[in-house]
Amino acid sequence: MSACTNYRELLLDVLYGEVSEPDHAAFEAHCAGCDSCRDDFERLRAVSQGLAAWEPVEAPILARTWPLRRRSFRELLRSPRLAWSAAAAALLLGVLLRADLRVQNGVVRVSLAMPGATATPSSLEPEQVAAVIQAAINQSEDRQRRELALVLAGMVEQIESDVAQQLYTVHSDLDRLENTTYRVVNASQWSLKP
Amino acid sequence: MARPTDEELVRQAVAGDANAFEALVRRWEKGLFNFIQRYVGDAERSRELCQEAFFKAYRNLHRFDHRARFSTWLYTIALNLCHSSFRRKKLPKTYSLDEAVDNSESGPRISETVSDPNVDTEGDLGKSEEAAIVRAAVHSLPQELREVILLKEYQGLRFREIAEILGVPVSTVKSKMYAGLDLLSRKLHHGRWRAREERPQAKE
Repeated sequence: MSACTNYRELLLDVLYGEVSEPDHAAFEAHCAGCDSCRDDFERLRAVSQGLAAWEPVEAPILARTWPLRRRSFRELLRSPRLAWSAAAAALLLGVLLRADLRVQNGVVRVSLAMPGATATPSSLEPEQVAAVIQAAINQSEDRQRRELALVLAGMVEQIESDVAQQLYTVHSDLDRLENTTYRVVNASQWSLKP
Repeated sequence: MARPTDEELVRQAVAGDANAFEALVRRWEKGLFNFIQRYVGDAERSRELCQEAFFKAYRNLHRFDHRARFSTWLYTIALNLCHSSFRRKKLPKTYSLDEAVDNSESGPRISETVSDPNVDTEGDLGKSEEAAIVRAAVHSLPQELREVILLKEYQGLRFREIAEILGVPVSTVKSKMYAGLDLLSRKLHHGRWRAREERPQAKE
């Protein structure tokens, strides 16, 4: 194959119909006596035809929105992902703040804010007050446990996603290695013209 | 009435005709979007980049060199935007495209399309499988080869035009094209083999 590298440009010209009649004839004549080039041509033609399987995707229909969008160019600069991140951060902050409050309630043992402790303290026996407080603490602990479980689940999810990402990186690296190896091998066969 | 050429529309737009540029957008948006989406992967970002390319073209229309073709110029703008987008976001070399079967963060999973009930049962690969294999193969190409393959195979540009867009000699474009096709032939072969391996054994 390496002896025929001079025909590669011509091969591509023929493959994509960008060739003059005499050049086409010259390529045909060469292929008649060169299995390697003929096979190469057929192989690349099959690749080229196979690529058609990846069909075009839906168009954005910019034209219809073009005059409107022209006015709101700044919108382009605002990434929707940024908005989502901000919303997620706000939500997370809210959850954390509420968690803090509950912990505080548990520690201070103020049961007024807790449901089930709406009766005035004076009308209750000390045992009942103790029970209400205990219930509030338990409730608070339950909540904390549930929240802890959620946090842990989130961490597990994060770790899983990190592992998946790392595996993907390894996969990409292997792919890149393959490409690099290919290029090194290819460079020795096919010298790039300046 | 004869359809005005792109370059005539550019002249009209520069002269202040707003409809002329809109006609250019309508004429090129589909092709450009398809190119960007195949190159970048993510549909939303592709849409943004496509709009950005048209905005950039619009703002620089008065600088357009009328010896060049508008399409070539537009592709050059889009390609540069894609390049800076790659650099800015440090995107991986390969992506999953959300337009098809896979919406996860990892690369395209061919196995997921394998169980598609619409796939033919002749033992060969179905249309969606084949598309996923091609997509994965093209996306795993080195960037410099991928862009040449996309411009040639999917945008149907001539080697001369691609050379102009990339600012390199035609011979360099051809060497990249050859390398890209050659590499793809292996990747496609491997992809098809893997898809068949991963296919659930429906038959006894």
